[in-house]
Amino acid sequence: MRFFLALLLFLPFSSSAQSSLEYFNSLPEEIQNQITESERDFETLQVEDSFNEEEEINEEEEIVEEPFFGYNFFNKSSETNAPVLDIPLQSDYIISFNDELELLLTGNVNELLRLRVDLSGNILVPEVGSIAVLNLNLSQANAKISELINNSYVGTSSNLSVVKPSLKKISIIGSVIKPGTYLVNPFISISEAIKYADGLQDNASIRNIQILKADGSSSTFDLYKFLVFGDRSIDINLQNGDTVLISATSNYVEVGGEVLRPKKYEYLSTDTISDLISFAQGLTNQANDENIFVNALDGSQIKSYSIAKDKIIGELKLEGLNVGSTVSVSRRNVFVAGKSVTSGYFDYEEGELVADFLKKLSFSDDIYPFFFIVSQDSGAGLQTEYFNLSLADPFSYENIKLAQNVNIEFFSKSEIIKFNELNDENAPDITEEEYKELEELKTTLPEDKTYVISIGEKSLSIPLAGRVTAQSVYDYLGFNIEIDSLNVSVATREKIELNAFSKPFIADDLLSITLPPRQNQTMTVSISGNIISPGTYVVPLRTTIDELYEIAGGFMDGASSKGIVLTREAIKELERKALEGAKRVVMDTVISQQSNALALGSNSNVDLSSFASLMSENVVTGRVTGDFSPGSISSKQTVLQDGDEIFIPSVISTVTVTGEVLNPITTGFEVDSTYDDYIEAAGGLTSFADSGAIYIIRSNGTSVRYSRGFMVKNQYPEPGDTIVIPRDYDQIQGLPLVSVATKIISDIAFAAASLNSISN
Amino acid sequence: MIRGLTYFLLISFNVFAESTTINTHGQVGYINTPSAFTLAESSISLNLYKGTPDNKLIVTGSPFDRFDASIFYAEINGIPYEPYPGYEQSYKDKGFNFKFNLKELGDYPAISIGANDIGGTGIYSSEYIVLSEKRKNFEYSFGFGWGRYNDGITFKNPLIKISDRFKSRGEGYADEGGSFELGRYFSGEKTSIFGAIAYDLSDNFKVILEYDPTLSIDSTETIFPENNLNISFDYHFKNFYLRTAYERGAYASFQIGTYQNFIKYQKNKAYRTIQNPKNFDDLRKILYENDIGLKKIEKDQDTLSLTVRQTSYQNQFKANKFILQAVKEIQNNSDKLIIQHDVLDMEVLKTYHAVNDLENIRNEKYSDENLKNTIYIANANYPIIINNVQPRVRTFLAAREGFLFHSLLLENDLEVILKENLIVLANFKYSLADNFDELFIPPDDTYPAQVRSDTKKYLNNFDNGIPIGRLELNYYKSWSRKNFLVLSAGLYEEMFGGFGAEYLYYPEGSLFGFGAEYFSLAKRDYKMNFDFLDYRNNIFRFNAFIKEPSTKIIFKLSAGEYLAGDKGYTFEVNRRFDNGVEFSAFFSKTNVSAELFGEGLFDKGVKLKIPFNLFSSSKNLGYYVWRPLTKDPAAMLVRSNKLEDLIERYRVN
Repeated sequence: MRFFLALLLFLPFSSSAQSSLEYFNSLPEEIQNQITESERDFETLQVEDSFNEEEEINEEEEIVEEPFFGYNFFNKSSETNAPVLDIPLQSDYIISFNDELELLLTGNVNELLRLRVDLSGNILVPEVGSIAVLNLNLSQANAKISELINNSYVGTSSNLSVVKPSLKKISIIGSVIKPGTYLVNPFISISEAIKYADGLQDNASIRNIQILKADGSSSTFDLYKFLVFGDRSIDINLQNGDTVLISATSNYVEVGGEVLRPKKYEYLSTDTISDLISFAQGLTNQANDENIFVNALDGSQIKSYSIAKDKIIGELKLEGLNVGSTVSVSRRNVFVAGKSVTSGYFDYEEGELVADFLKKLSFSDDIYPFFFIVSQDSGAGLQTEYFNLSLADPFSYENIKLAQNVNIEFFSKSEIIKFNELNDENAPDITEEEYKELEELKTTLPEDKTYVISIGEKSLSIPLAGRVTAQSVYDYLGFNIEIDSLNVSVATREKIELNAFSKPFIADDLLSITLPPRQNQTMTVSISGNIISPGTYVVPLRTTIDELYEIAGGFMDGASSKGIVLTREAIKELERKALEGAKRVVMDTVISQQSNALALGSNSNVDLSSFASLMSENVVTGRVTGDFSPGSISSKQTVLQDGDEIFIPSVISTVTVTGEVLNPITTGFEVDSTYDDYIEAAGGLTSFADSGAIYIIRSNGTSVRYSRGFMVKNQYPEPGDTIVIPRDYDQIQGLPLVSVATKIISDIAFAAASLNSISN
Repeated sequence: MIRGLTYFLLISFNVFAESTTINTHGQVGYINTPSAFTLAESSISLNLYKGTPDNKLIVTGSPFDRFDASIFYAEINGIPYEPYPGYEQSYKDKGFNFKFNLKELGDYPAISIGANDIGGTGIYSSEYIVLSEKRKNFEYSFGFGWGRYNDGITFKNPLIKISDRFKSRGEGYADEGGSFELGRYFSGEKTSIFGAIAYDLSDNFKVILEYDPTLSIDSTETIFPENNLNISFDYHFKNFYLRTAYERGAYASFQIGTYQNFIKYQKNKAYRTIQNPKNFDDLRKILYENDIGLKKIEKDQDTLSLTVRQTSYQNQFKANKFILQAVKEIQNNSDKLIIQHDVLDMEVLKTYHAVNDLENIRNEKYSDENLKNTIYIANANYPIIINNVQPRVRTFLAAREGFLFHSLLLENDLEVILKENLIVLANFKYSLADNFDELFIPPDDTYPAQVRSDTKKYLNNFDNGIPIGRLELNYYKSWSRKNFLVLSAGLYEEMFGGFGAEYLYYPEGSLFGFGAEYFSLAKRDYKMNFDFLDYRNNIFRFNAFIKEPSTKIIFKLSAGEYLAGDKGYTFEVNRRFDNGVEFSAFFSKTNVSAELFGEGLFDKGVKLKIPFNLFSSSKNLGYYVWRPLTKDPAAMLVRSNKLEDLIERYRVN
């Protein structure tokens, strides 16, 4: 409702900067997002018709770690997505609407009847009449029909078989990638259904899947019974009209240590610790089942508990489960790891300061100085303590003493950079070996100690510890990117520090560091049309439109100062995005309407021809509107951007009528003519015209509403006006998003038409 | 009036229009019956009918598309005149006819509804609903009539089923006749049918066959009908027609008329210039060539400001267009132009324009800028005297004594401009020939203060020396193009003189204005010299108006005291077209009782204003006011110029 009110408020008064996007910009943000976002939520019926693209994605998926056990099973695309109809049917096949059946009569009557289950769930057998078979399985139906046939045709036996099962319509909702309603293979199981929806989201629960039947009943399924133990019986076949509800959960536990398949598993409160171990395929030979620890959330802290195998999880919020090893050796040497350091075991004395120990090590030039990890046993070997330290900040390890089982891990600059290239599409290819190393590195680097640092256009995720300055990080990483050191900003948990290039921060407080690129001092703009020296100019930043006029020698005689066209790539992009988004909305709706119409056997009430004309509109103008006449406030204040183009048309002495008129025209301006005269000259309005929504696009691109009525002051045409008569999309008003989308498309198209009339 | 009609006839020769047939009620139709069609917006039609026993003069105007209104004067011969037994006189009637088009011709026939002779004594009073169809050169109509349409095939009035009040049209007239008695419409025991076929034999000839249910008028000269059929042959030439008809198998009739759409006729002055213009003096010359007087030039850096006065253009934007064009021609380096229009030294409009935006002058932007450097001021050698002598015809229509009385006058109009805003206006008459002396029957019902009903006494004196029609002094003043004032004294009209003032508040671009006027008046002597009769009155009136811009309708309300001392209000609806043609209708309601008033509870009438400079170089705005009766109550002072009328033509858009 609020959306409609907002729409009502915004529609008539839109006249801000960018004409063709005015309307779009005026929409509430949530609507804008709905239109432009690449995938929309549970909105329309989608019909799967190809799965070519998805195969490519599969390869990548194998690299990505599963968020939890079972995830990849669903997120790999099924190869049986397309309905397969020629496989034998089992006797437990449940008959559904539109199934095509064959009834073979033998004995006194020999006949093969082809029957279709109608929409009331019946089949019509000659001389027997209508027989309800809906929701009977094949053998039940066979029995029922046999009995009836026996009564009608004496001495005749019958056999019912399914020739062509109908497609089923199921809905998949909840934590899946693409919720929606799908037409699917008639024999689809729960697990296959999830694949239709492109798999699970990271927070999906596959142990609590609900199937909601059309009749309102529901049942719950635990897919681990199938995924872990192979119990196929629970992966039941879905029926027409079923809804699969995948709920969300955060109940995952990382099962590690001496288990055969360490992974993250979903748990239920009724599970026992043994259950979790059995999910991980049991214990290894070295496992010590007396030494099982769990990490559980207690309030805001994570605590470790020793736990018994038969303990039921209940209220515990498990984070991790670790099965200890029977072998535990206390090392006497410090283990130093890292590519850019003398690695291996080093002698030390317990209680030795880290600072002293570091002196024994040699580092290569590639050492990454801002982060290293010291881990060692504490509390009599029962706990491990971790220190995140920085070589660049000796204070960070000043007082730390070495204890038992010390591991020190260093990183190299190349590792850190490579690590960032993992997610970078443009990065050079990574060998398989490197890939493994990086995966390992990923597990080693604590996520909460890595920070995003933007250097120019480049953005890196790097680990930091101790005290750092943006300058030291920049000096070290460099990249030969020129930055604007005066505008460095550092975001901490408390605030954003500006001009913070050399200001030290504690890494733990940091959120991100931004080192903006040094701006080019010049930009390239072009100016054409009725100007003394047209061409492309390299001008200083912050050059205004008026200054460019001067640079280009001023206007020629006969130049129009009103219809100046400034086009900007950024606006073009925005328009393109809005146009594409709007088209997608419209297209989805058309498909949906058509499918629904087919399914319901009725005619669609959407006027397809009007949509077809909409979809052919492709031109975006990117025009910035306003009065850019020389000396005007706008031209003195509007700063050009790189790539801007200005066109100075000749004096315009025409008026264009476009949209829903019989014969759209561009005609000469007559000082005595009214808007109605021009509309009349264009043959008058068509029956599709929305006469209440007529608007005028002025030659400077701004648009004004054409208002007529009692006691409203007359508006008179100006040369260069484009009179726009929009189409009345009343017939689809029931679909708010679509009417918004169609308006966006037509507005963009009309703006282009207006520009065309000026440029010509 | 006659002069206006002459112009009207003259221009009618110039414009070709599709032939239209007009019936005896002046409405688009056939012979006595109407069709569902109407005249085009802003058209006027003038018609004379000669029949038995009646003759008519009908003027029809179309102030709106799909709405026609007619005013008619009828003379019905052979009716005994009761105050003078044995004296058989022709009966004079005046009234209105209206027609509304409900549906235009399309896939289905056009439908209209209308009424004849309302607001008068109702001799022709009738109402109808009619459907018409037109196919190439063939046109036919079918309709139902009430009232006077009640002969031939009739049936019970179906409206009686809805309400019993439709049963009777009543006897006689309430309030002495002359009221708009809505209750009578579509009433009566019977409803009749009518129909007609018109066929174009060629571009000029048309034949009409009509089934006419009109009841005959009771007169000694009436020839009673044999049947209900009328047939006519019409000859059309441009916008004229001539009709010969044979009505009801009994008598012949003739009708002649013309119709003219004024909206097509706009005086399009062509822009005139001089050779090789270059400086401000040339600018002044160009403007002079275009009938625009240049008063002042001011200039700042890139802005030029011109103050002009002109009365030749009905629309200020047309004048502005020429001014802009002239400024461009002298290759002035100004980007911005301010144009100020003055009338009688009153600032009325100040707008600014981009010099290179020549064509966009209708979306006016008002300016308050005052420039510092004055570089030209026009000076005039006051006093300026404009004297104009010309013959004029003065008429007095439909008096009891006869249908038409007239005089041929030699009139001298004198304008002495003492200063631009201080002006003497005078009018002297000399009668070359007249028959006004034949007017002798005194008015029927008079109000104690006889302010208008004694018109005949003034007319009787037209041949008595040189009557002064007007001699007045006016002083004008304005402030900020919002407040306007005129102080005035003298002989305002033939019947009243005195002194007074009028004030008007009417800002630029405003859709409304209001003001007040006060006059201390005395009744002039019948000889129209400098003497006065005993009657004196001071009147104070409050005036307000509101403009509806898209239809160009102005609603005016004037309240206060009238000449005869009665108090009340006058409401006027006025429509002005771009070319200056105006249609208005008004009514007044005062505190005078129906008995005292005579015919009707209130005064009403219509006004038709045609700017005669459409057709000639005359600066006059000729207009004609028609009211069914000249009565004393609700009478207003006739003034040469009202502030609103002076200013409105510079505020049209």
